[in-house]
Amino acid sequence: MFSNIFVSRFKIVLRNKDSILWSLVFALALGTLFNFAFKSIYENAQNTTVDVAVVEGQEEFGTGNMSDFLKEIEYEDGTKMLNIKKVDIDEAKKMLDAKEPEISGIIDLRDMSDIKLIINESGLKSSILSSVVSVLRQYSSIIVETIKNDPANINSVIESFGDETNELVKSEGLAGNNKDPYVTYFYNLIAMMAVMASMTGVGIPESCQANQSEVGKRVDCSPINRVLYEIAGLLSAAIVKLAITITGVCYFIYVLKIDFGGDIQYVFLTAILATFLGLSLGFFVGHIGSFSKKTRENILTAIVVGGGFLSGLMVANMKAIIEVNCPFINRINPSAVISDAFYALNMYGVSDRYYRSIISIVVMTIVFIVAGLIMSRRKSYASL
Amino acid sequence: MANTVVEINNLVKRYKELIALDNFSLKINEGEIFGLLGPNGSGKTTTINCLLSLLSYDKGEIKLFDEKMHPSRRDLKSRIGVVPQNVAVFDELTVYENVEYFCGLYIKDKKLKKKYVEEAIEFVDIADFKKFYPKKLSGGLLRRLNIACGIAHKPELIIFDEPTVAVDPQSRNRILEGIAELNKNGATIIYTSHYMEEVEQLCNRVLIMDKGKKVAEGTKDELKGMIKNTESIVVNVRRLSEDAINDIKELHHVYDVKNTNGTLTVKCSGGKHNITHVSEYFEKNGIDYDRIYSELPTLNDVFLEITGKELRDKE
Repeated sequence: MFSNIFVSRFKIVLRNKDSILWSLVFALALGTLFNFAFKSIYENAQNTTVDVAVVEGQEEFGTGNMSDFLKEIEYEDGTKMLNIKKVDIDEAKKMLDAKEPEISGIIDLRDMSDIKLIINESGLKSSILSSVVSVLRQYSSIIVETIKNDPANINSVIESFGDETNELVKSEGLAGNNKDPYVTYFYNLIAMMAVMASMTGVGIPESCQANQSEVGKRVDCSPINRVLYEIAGLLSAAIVKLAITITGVCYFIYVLKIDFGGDIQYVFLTAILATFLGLSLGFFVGHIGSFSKKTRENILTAIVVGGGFLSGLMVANMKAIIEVNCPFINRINPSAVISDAFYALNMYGVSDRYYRSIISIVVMTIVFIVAGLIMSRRKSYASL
Repeated sequence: MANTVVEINNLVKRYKELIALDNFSLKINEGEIFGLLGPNGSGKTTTINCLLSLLSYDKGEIKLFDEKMHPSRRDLKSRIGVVPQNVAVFDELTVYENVEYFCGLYIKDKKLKKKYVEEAIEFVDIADFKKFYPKKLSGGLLRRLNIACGIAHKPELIIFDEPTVAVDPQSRNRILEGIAELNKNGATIIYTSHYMEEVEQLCNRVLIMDKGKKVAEGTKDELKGMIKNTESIVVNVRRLSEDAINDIKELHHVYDVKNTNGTLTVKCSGGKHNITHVSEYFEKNGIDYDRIYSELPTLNDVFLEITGKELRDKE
């Protein structure tokens, strides 16, 4: 009986072309589009030399050495990252305002304990400057200390930063490895594919509840064990949806050659668990209340789109805003939990934070499925 | 004495202020084809849904096979087959797969299931369309598939909820013949419809309901015996004087005469051969007429006389 339901439900999900189209083709098409759009921008960014005005302070504080150090920062292919123009602060501001000669910002080294960056507009070049300055700030205290205690050694100290600094610049999101800024878009796409599985999940109870469909009436009249029926439906849907997600991830990795870093197996693990969460979310929504099929789908769409928005899948810093103002939402929002897992993997690798996110995904999945099954017990309806 | 298959006692079902079933009772015996007849909205489908424990009810009792029915009675559900009013199949499964799927909800044994599926498909005569998807089937074929899905597991009680709505006459006849055959093979049938001709043709016993209440119940003859009208004589006559109409009213057994647009309808109570008296009157008085014929009362007449309204809208 279980195998009969499982096989038939599998065929039903597999033959539902709309569902497959939306969850796979759409994600692949969007991924391809992202790849063309962002990769070229990113590749150009890799070799961009940024014109910047540097305002030096008193020499005894090592600002000259620092300027020289900035000059030396290079991309991996040897291209200089910064083209420095040493000027005073007034001249620098004039240059920034007049854009003649064009500069992207001013690095103010007059106070080494408070290195300032002045920029007029946001953009890729500003981001590069921002990353460089954040590295400088990390080392400024060491430089200041060295100048105070062992000024003769300042050059060797700064030189010792050289390689390490380049690595840090990379880690700030400028160049390569799994910290590529545009990889985040692909993580978001995988998250979207996973959450979209909820649209299939919501259809599982529909086919065995008399108040949701004609087929549901027929199944409800039969002696079949409802829990068994729904588990068979859930498993068959999970297989199809997992296949879609895995196909998507494989397409990103092997066709588009997206570099997710060294922890690919964890990317797959996260995608698989996230798909289960998406499916179970739909399954849960399919059981709540006595709404019509249409209303139920609208509720789910609101949860998916609203949750996606709040988790930052649409507006990058939204999740941070929610984290500051109402962190509880980030804990119960499936999209936020999934995106946090990918974010943790992307930024910190397989870390405690990543495991916490994974545990959250698993717990939420179990809660949604168990709650759905409890609500699915046989019952009569007040109206049909 | 035949076993009771369905027993409903004083069932009350309310939808907020609306009373859908008002102390409704019925009893169906094994081997019957029981017709549940009533206009749209009379409570037929609500009765069936309560019977199947799909709908909760406010008061009353439902017994199937002498046992109380409730949503968890899988043993009772396994003995019932349902052919719902609307076609209930999966668009993504073929004809064969659909029948197999629904049969599989009742039958565990694979070989037996395969046999039953083949038989059901043969029974409703859709073997040529086994590999078709429902969207490729005509309305009549879809209805037949709907029936196959409901009967494949060979239930003891089969409920047909208006199975011929929007079906062409050829498919309708085939469906009715099939239902009669299922009954011959031992199944008890509940047949709901607002088509009185079908119920007259098919059912041994009929319950007429309106506004959630039982209006009348019995065999067709018993129901027709409940009303005054036993025969209507219809005469197509071009011209007829008021005196002649009054004379006809005085004829034996005649209780009502209506003359509209050249058609004279003479309603009689008692006896079934009143046509002789009426035709003799016309011949004696030298009144020419084009045609004269007799009509026996239908269930619609029964419904009309008891409720004062037509069973269904004129089509």
